[in-house]
Formats: sequence, C-alpha cells, structure tokens
Amino acid sequence: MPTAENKSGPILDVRDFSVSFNVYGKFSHVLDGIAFRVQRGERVGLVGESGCGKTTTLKAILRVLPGNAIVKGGEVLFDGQDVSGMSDAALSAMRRTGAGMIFQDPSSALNPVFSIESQFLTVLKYAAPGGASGKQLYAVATEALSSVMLPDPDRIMKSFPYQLSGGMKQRVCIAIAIAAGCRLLLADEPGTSLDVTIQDQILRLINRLVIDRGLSVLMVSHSLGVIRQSTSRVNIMYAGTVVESGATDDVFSDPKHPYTAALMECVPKLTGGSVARGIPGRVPDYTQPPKGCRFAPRCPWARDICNGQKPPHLEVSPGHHVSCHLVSEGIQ
Amino acid sequence: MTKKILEVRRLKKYFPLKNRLVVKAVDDVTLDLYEGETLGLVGESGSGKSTIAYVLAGMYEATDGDIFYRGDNLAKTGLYRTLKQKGEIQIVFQDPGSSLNPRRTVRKSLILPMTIHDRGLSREGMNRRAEELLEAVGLPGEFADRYPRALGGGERQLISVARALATHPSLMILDEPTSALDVSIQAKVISKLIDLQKELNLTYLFITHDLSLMRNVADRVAILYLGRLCEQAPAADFFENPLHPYTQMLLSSIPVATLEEEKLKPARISSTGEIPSPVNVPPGCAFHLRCRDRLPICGQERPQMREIAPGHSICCHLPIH
Amino acid sequence: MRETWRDVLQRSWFRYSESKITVLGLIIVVGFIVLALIGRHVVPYPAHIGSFVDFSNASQPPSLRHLCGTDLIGRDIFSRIVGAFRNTLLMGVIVLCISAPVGFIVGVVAGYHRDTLIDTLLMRITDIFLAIPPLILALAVASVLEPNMTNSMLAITVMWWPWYARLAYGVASSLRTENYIVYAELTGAGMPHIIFREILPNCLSAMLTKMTLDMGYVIIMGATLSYAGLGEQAPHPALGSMISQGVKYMPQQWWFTVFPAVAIIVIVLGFNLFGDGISNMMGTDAN
Repeated sequence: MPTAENKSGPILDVRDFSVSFNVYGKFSHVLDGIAFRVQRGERVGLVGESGCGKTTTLKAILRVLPGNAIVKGGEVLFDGQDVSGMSDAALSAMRRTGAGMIFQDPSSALNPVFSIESQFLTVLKYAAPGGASGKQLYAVATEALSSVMLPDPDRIMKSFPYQLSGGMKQRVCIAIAIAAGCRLLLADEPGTSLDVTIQDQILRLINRLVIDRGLSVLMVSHSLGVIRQSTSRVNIMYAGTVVESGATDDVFSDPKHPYTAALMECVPKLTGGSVARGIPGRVPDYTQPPKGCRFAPRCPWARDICNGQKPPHLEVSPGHHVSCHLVSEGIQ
Repeated sequence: MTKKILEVRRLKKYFPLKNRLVVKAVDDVTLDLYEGETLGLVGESGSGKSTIAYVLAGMYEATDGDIFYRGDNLAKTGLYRTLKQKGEIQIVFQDPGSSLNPRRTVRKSLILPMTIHDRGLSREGMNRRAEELLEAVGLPGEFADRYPRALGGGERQLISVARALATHPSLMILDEPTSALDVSIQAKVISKLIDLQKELNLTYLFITHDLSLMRNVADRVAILYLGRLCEQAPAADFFENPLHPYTQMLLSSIPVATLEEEKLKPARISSTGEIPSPVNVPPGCAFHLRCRDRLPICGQERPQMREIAPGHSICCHLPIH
Repeated sequence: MRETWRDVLQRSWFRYSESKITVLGLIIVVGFIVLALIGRHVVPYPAHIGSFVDFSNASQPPSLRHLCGTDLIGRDIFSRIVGAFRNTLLMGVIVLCISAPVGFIVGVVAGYHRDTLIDTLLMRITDIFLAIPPLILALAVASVLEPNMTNSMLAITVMWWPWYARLAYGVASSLRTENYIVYAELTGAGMPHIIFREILPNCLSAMLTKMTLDMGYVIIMGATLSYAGLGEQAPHPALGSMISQGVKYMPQQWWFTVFPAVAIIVIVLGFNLFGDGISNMMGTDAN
C-alpha cells in the first residue's frame, strides 16, 4: 500500500529524466532531461510529433520500459514516490489504482474473448482486494458506465467488445479507469483513431470527468487542436526534450520557441490562407544527437552557440518556460 | 468555366455480404471534376470516400451509374480499362508504409510505370527520368538507390507522388495522402502537391477526413455521409456558410489550434450519436437520427440534392434559414 | 542514414549471435559443407570410400589408426562417413532447390487468385499431397522406381513442395491487398511482374529460413530411405545404409552403427540450430 499520501504536491513530477536505448550495441539517447509536472485536478498536455519520445515518457511513468532501456538520470515521482524505487507491491498499487491509461486504439485495449462485465469486474477486484462483494462491484461498474454517458449499462456489461463501436469501447476504457479509482489519467492520443465527431465527444467527456471527479490528466497527442481544447497547461516536446511549457493559451497565442512557432504554422487552419512549407530536415539521429540544442540543425535562426551548448531553461513570463538561446539573448 | 474532366453520375457501389445483406458503400453519388481544380471529398469512416476512390481508379467496377472520363464511360471497366486510361488516372494511397514495395529500391518502384507506359524508353532514359521525377517532388536523386525503410513517411509519400507522375497523368486521386503524417511533414507534402498541380495542370480528387486541410487546399468541397453526398459547395462559400446539419456538426467538432478558428466554427452543435453501420442505413435521410432539427418527413423520404446558391447544393429536407 | 554492407552484416550477425547455441550450429554447418566439398581428398583413406577390400583389417574397433574403426571388409569407417557427406548434402540441396521454386509458383499463383477457381484447384491438389503421410509416399515412389540416389531425391521432392506452396500461398494472399501490389495492377502491370518482381522479394526471407530449417529433415528423410535400401547403392557410402548394415552386428561391433548415427544427429542438429539462427536474423527484420 502507498504510504501517507502527499496531498499538496503534484500528482506527477518528472524531474530531469533521461532514457537511452541499447539498439544492437549502439546507444540511442532518446529522452534528454525532460521535466514537467501534473498538479492535482490539472489537465496537462504533452505535444510532439512522432519519434519525439512521447510514448517513452508514458512508459517510463508506468515503469514499463522495454528491457534495452537504460534510465540515465532523473526521476519520476508519482504522488511523491519515486517510481523507479517503488517496491513491486507499491508499483502494482500505482498501476491498479493510481494511474490509468487510455489508449489511442480502444479495440486493442479490451480482450475480444471476454465480456465487458468479466473484464470490468476483474479490474475492480484487483483494484480493491478483499473488499466488496460481486454485487457491489457490479453496481460500481454500472455507475461508472452511466457516468461516461453510455446508455443502458446492463446491456453494455453483457456485451463483447466486437459488439461495441470504437467510441463505446473508448468510453468503456475510461469507465474502467475511473471505477478503479484512478487519480491520474494517462491519455495516449485518445480518440485519434476515431472519427472527429466521436473524438469530440470523448474529449468533452474527459474534460467533464476532470471537473466532476477531480481527476488529473496527462494528455499526450500530436494534435495541437486536441491539446488546446482539453488542457490548461502544455509541454511541447521535440526530439526527447521539452522545448517550451506554460499555460496552454499563453503558449498557443504567443509561442516563443522556434519549433513551437514552426509547428503552429504547419497546422492547417480553418481560417484558410496559404499552406506552410513545413519544417526542413528531420528528427535527429538519436545515436548521435546534436550537442547543443536538439532543434538547432533545423532551426532557421540557429547560431554558433545553439550548436555547441545546451540552451538554458528560461521563464519568459509567469509559468511560461522556454529552452532557447535566442530567447535568452533577447533575439526574437 | 473550364472543361469537365470527370463526370460521375448516380454512382452506386454495393458489396454483398452473407445473409443477403448488402453494404451500400456508395449510394447514388453525382459529382463533377473540372480540369485543373481540386475537389475535396470529405467524410468520416464508413462514408464510402475510399470506395469512390477505388472505383474511379479502376480497382472495382461500379454496381450502377456512369463515370465519364473525357467522354469515355469507365463505370464498368474496372481493371480492364485501356492502358491510356490507366496512365491518365493515377492514385496515391494513404499508408506510406505499404505504398512502396519494401524489398525494391525507390528506382525500381519509379521505373515500373515507365516499363508499362513508356516502352520506347531505354534503360538509361528510365534512370534519368526516375531522377527527374525525384527532383520534381523535391527529393535528392541519391534517394533512388535507397529502400523505403530508410526513408521517412513524408519522403515515401512524395515518392508515391513521383511514381504516379511517371505516366503523365491528368487526374490524380489522392486517398488521404497525408493523414498518417505529422503536421510538419504534411505541410511539406501538401505544398509540393500544390506546386505540382500548377506546374503540370493536374486535377486532384483529394479524399480526406480533415476539413481544416481542405480549407487550405480545395477549390470545391463535397461532404459524404454513409455513402451519400450531403453537401457540395465552393470551398470559401462552404466554410463561411455550411448548410447541412451534418456538415455543421462536423465543423463544430474539429479541434482547432487557435482562437481565431474557434470564432469561425458554427455555433456549437454538440455532436451526438455515432455513424450507423453502412449495412443498416436508416430509412429516409441517412442522418436524421442524429439530427436535432429533424422533421417527420426526414425519416420517410430520401431527400434529393437541391441547389441553394450557384454551385452550392445540399441534400436535406429542412428549409434554409 | 544510408546503410552500407558492413552495417547490414553487423546487424545480421548481432541478431544471429544473440543466441550463442546457434553459433555452434553455424560452425557445424560450415564444417559439414567444407567436408562434403573437399572431404574425399583429406580423409586418411580416400580409397576406402569406394570398393576396397582388406580382410586383414576387418572389424577393427576404434583406434588411433582408424578413428571410428573399420567395417566387415576392412574399410575405414571415418573415411566412409566423410565420403557420404557429399551425397547427403547434394540430396538436401537438390531436393530443396526443386521443391521450393515449384511450391512457390503453385502457392503464389493460387494466393494471388484467392477465392477463385484457380485457387481452389491448386490448393486442393496441394492438400491431397499434404494428407498422405510423407514417409509412406516417399517409400512408395522410391520403391516403384529403380532404387538409386536420383529416384530417392525425386521421391522426397514430390512430398516436399506442398509445404512451400502453403508458405507462398500465405504470403501472396496477404500481400495482394498491399497498396504497392494494387498500384502495380492499376497501372497495368502483368501477372509475371507482380509475382516475380513484387511478391517474390517479400517471400524470399521466409523461404530461405524454411529451407535452412528443412535441410535437416530432408537429410533424415534421405537417410531413412537409404536405411530401407532405397537410396545410394553399394559400394558407395550412405549414412542410412551404413546404419542398417551395421545393426545386425550390434552390440559387439557397435562402431558400425554408432558413428554414422552420431554423424546424422550432429548434422541435423547443426542445420536446425542454424535455421533457428537464420530465423532470428530474418524474423525481427520488420521488412
């Protein structure tokens, strides 16, 4: 069982965390000192393009990194406890009742050969060992299903995953997470594999649960639109580093880092206008990452210092942090 | 008005299932494509947008209806259309992972269409042309000797575009060419496609689920729902004044990245319900079960396309405000 | 990002050698092939491989002069075992080099025309062959024909191709919906192009893996036929017939039987380990 909970501190605190992978004898330095926090009841976004280390970060939080991963430094604190130092019991308690994962593809998150009822009750049984009777658990489950706006929970409980649509399965996954007593939802591209009208419903549902139940959310996505609509703070990731972080509205209305600005430019806008040319180059080779700023090789404003030295972490306005030499030298 | 390159008339494509059920993937779709324009064909999953692409590209025969390409009716030919027609209508697929053979070099993939459509060309000529094609899509010639796995998703998509250009096409069917890509890569591919269109006077049928992208790319937009067309309009007109209730719901569901866009979205129509299975299309208007303004007639009679403004037509019983 | 041959070799070796025991397999296989090729010239008694008689030396137990002892008519058993390697290897190579391409063509054509009459026809014929117990089929073929090496190869080939047909069928029927195949069709490519240029390169690694794994089984099958007297005829050495002739003299003259048997076991084990290594090497390769 987790020890006395630290009710005041952040629920998730990732501190200067670095991870490398051993790939056929070569070392791939994927995460390079990332740091961010999720406060209780807060919705935090982690945005980045594919290959920027979003998934690795999520895996590190749940301590499910593959065998060839090496934690080079830093720590992940869940509820004040270091995840890498947790005992097996504390770790599985965290995975059962602390942090719940919502996957991009809801159809692979549920086992096709078991009914929703049996999968749901199995999770609840482990989440609250020894406690409630089957009947009580069933009541908890149906309550959770109706709280995610699924009509007729009894029918859903009897169904098998193939009988439900993608949106319904996604809701079932969310219901399982909240019924298990999750305090932190780790949402990995929720609804991205679903249609936009369904995705919209799922995002609104998550937003409502945060308010009603005081949940915290770490929303991981490549879509700036999704992040803007469903988070209050955002961290922009590029090539295994957090390049910019701050209140979502601040960062989106006034991006300071050249990468954030370029990314904003690339998103097709409903307001129309011309199409951006994209960002030249590609994500660096992690086996030989740039020595200084990892974005420097693609940055149109890069100077000598950017290639040679890691950029400092600066607070440009309250809560709005940027890692960039240009900002530190006052060039913008 | 420019010339029509493609006329699709009451196109139907049904797939029979067991138990005498039928999937009406495309049901009575009528479209026109004008030379040099981009028509955005937008729909969610199950809307039949990819089926239309495959019928037009020649993978399937139409169940009913006509497809006139420069006056020839292609509807019933499928794979048996003439070599000339195969060359002039080219397709670029969505998945950059499977559009190129992983075991063949880029050069070999690019040369394939030439060996079929340009038999006169020498080995050397083909090699030279392959490098020209790479240059045309903005990739270095050295990519010719690489295998697809050594390339990024965007680069593979550009190579698929280059391969399609090898037969000197006039009509390109782009089936979600960028939906598997990151936005920074998508921007690169899209801007290249726009350049090529101007340079080579190509006509694009751009199939996508991404309305915001169409705002920036398409000249005209057509919205599909469950195999039926529900709204068709010039892009500017469409985004300023969406008329069909489904289109409005779709627009208001898009997650947007800036405040200016938020203001542009129609007054929030909360999306409700899900797309029914195409095996079991509701009677009357396919959308009426999710429509908050539905009338009694919507569940009984199938609405017909009607023109509201020049080029702007919708398929809906509701009176226009 | 461009890979050189060195990179490819380095990665392949990394994957192959991840399991150390497969390295042993590689050593056995290389040793076997080298002996099969040059063994006749390096064995202590090259003449003993053919029809040689030396009754004064008959039935000698293993010693330093005769590592594996001598047989009933005084021939060195070690030299004869090594001498049999060439035909053993030849058997495996020829059988696989015929059955793999035949099976491939049948399987690909059927898989590419999935759910049509061609598919049904070809694959049901394949199924009929698969339904007959392989050894009985091979024995039947070999005994109807004159017993010699060529016919025993023929017999094994007849029962071996359907496995490759199955393999190629699986690959072809899953690849035929891949976009690059669809694109080739839509652009007007013919079936030969699609089969040999598009599908074959994607089948190759699975086929090669299966061929190395199968090598051991083909060798066992060949030894079994020659044990039954349906393979290479005297005076030429064959591992199977050496065992069957020696069995009568067990256990006194145990070396007649044990050494050829050990040779078969080591070779088959070697090819199985080698096959595992090859499948590790190919298997993790996403492409």
